[in-house]
Amino acid sequence: MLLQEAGIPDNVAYLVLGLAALVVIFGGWLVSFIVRLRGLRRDAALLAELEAEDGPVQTVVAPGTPAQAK
Amino acid sequence: MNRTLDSAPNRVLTVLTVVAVLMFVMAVGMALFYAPTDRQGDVQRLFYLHLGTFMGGALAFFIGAIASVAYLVWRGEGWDALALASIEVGLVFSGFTIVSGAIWARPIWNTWWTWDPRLTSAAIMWLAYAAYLMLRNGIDEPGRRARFAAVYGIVAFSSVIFTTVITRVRPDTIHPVVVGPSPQNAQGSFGLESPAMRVTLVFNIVTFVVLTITLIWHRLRMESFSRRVQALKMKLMAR
Repeated sequence: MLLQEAGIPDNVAYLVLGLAALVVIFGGWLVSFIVRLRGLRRDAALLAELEAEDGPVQTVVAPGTPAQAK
Repeated sequence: MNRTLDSAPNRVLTVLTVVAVLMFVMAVGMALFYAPTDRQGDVQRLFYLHLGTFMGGALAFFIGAIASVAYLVWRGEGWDALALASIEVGLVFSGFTIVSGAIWARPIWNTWWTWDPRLTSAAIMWLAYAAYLMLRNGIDEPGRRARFAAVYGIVAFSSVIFTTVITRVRPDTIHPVVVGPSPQNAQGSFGLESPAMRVTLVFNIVTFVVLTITLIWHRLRMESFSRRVQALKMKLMAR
């Protein structure tokens, strides 16, 4: 109301839409990133199991996994 | 390559991530609450994010082009991984640039989209890089895939240069320019009269540059991890 009195159009709805687009686009990529990383960690865990069954193979450590004490 | 970025201590990346997230929250907060309302109304606040993400995307594509050149020169698999990581992140940033521009255009130009030279070149740029990912998915042999992708990554960067300079060389574009003189047909131009607007713009650009580097780094680590898992899978299958 005050904005319109000052001659400034009230288009805050488009700003909200833009912020929603920011959340959807960046959030979407982030979710895709997390899903892909989880899938890789599952694969790495499966490979570790196979390694235990078949004998030693090189171990793969996922990014962000804390180092284990030897 | 693999021994620098990818093998760097996690602590550095963790600190960078925290800094990037805090800066991102501040940048959005400054665009919403610190910068004064322009004559165009609140929708103009999207401009700070629009230009910031454009700069972030352009930086990511630039890193992608440099990594592609480096791959062709040194043939290190890490360079190929860096090119892929950069281009994927660049697509996210430039995707938001295009969408936020369309949302701003609706109340200002009275249309979501027009085949203006700048908008068209930005759309071509985005599609060219989307095709980069398709090209990679279409080639099975890793060495061949990396070579083709590197050549394509270098060629595709011409679309970034074209998109950046087009508002300076095509007088018929209606896309406004904020730094320097706007094209004669520009519609919806606005100036950054107040210092708060300029501070917000610079802070947003710096933030999205930091965010770009952080996300590329994360994506590069994941790509290296993915390649190690793939190599082990092959090794186990060969037994």
